[in-house]
Amino acid sequence: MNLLVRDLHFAYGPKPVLNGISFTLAAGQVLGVLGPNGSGKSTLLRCLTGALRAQGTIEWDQRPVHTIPRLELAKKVALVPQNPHLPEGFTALEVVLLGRTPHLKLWDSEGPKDLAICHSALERTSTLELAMHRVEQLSGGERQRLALALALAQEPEALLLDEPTAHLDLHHQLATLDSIRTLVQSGLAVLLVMHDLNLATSICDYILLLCQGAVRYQGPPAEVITEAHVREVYGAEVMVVPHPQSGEPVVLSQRSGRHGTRPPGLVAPRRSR
Amino acid sequence: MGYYLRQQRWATLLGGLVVLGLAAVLSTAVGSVPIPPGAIWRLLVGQLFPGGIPGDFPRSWAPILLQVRLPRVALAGVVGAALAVAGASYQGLFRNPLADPYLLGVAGGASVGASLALAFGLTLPFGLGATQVLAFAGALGAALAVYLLARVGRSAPVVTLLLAGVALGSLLTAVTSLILILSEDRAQIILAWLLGSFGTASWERVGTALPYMVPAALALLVSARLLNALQLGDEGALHLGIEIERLKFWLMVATTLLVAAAVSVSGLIGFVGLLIPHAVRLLWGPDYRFLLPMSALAGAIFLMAADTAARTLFPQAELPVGVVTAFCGAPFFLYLLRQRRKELGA
Repeated sequence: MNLLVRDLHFAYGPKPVLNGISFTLAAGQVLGVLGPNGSGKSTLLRCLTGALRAQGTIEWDQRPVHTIPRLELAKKVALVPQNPHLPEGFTALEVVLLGRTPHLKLWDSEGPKDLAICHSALERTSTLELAMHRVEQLSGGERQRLALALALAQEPEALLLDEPTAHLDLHHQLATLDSIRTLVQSGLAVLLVMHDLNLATSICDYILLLCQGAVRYQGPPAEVITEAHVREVYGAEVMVVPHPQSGEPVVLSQRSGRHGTRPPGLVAPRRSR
Repeated sequence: MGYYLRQQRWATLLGGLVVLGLAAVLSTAVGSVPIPPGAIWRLLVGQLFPGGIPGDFPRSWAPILLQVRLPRVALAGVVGAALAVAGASYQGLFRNPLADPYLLGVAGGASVGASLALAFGLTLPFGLGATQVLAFAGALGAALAVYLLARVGRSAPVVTLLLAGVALGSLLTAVTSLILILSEDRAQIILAWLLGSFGTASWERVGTALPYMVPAALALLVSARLLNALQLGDEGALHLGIEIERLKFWLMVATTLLVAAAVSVSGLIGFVGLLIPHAVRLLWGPDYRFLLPMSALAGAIFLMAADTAARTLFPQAELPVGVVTAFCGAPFFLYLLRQRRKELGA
């Protein structure tokens, strides 16, 4: 699935959130959307699914988003929100089965095929062993992976992810990125909103760096994530060094103040007697 | 959902159906004139096939059974089912565990309609019951008013709907109280209606309520899977391809029809619509495809039993059935709640 966005504007009442955003997303590509809090990342995602009505052009496979029937769009585009609202009392499997909704007719109920699809969605998000657990028994990270499984059960051609690794431990962060890579290899288009710059540079083919609702910098990770850009957009002093294996940029916090530039823990701060 | 539990669920529903049958027979048998279950079915067969199975019964049994006992039990069952399904539907639609069938000002509207009819002794042409018709109209009118008041553009936000329902409900309750106070000699009759009763049940009442209830209940049953998806929140459901405003509107229409039809033939009976869906949810989980039919069965059983208790506990006077539902329902529900908390280790 291909996405074209041109000159997108959106405002909550008088407060402008998106000011003329343009980009494209192609099948088999991972696009990262980065930017500080309040730069309009989540709003952008909700505009792309038509949940919010924005001004400008949003076209999925050359069709404006508001001319695509909801049901048809739901079969092709899935969104995983930052804080998914998963209903209490339902088991994980029941939640993931909800992802089959767009593929079922009103009278239908889920068949063996749907169950197989959900089984694989649970497997790919390593939540299979949680299948019979109730939602309220799951941890924040488990819920986040379950929300991803729900989206995968839709069998989408494009996946919009809002901070999919925010509540995850290191192991599951890497596992989630791995399964996203596998999906992309099978032709999925992925748009990723992220706060962790290092995770973003490790998976994204292309990055949009947003600032105050506009794209400030865009390009491959190595061009976008630089010390100067991060200082300008985030107002943070950082060091950017190439990753020893991949060569992608890695962002390190700059040490300053009384510890000097030494990493803490290696040398104990000197104390005056 | 349900795929892996399908057989188990059908078995549970079948069990519920059996209990419903037993409850119906027992409720019919018990009363100021007890009619043994054996006589009930003989009388019924005799009614269907004249000259059927011979039996030596008092002459009064047949009219008591056919004109008093059976319509009353049937009406209690139908109203119980309707209220329980409506409660479950509203709870899902508004994603609010406190939602009950009288939420959208329906109770207030029905009360004003019924008390007006009773206070002025209104009669309608064509032999229609004025109380019933005005209660029905009042209920629908109030729900419509709440919807229109709460509507912003093309959608009606849940919180606004609930608040508008509460506000209009209190206004209408005030109007009812006023009518009640001004109509001294008829206050007793009005109060009896407000508390809910099946004392005046008849086959006509069952017949006038069912044409609204059956299609509404079927529509809700068909939408049960979408109600499940709606539990993901408005935007979650939207991203699963559901036209949420349209779905919510039609769910509201169907549910309000169910409630209005129930209220117009029985008055205001509390607790059934709130407690039964919760009890079913606590026992068997929140899947609406099972929750709705099971609530219907449980609601019918519960209200039949409550009405039987209402008319037999005290030989001198009948209790309002709403009092009985509150008395038995609330403690049972609290017990379930405690059990469940223990189970979850909360």
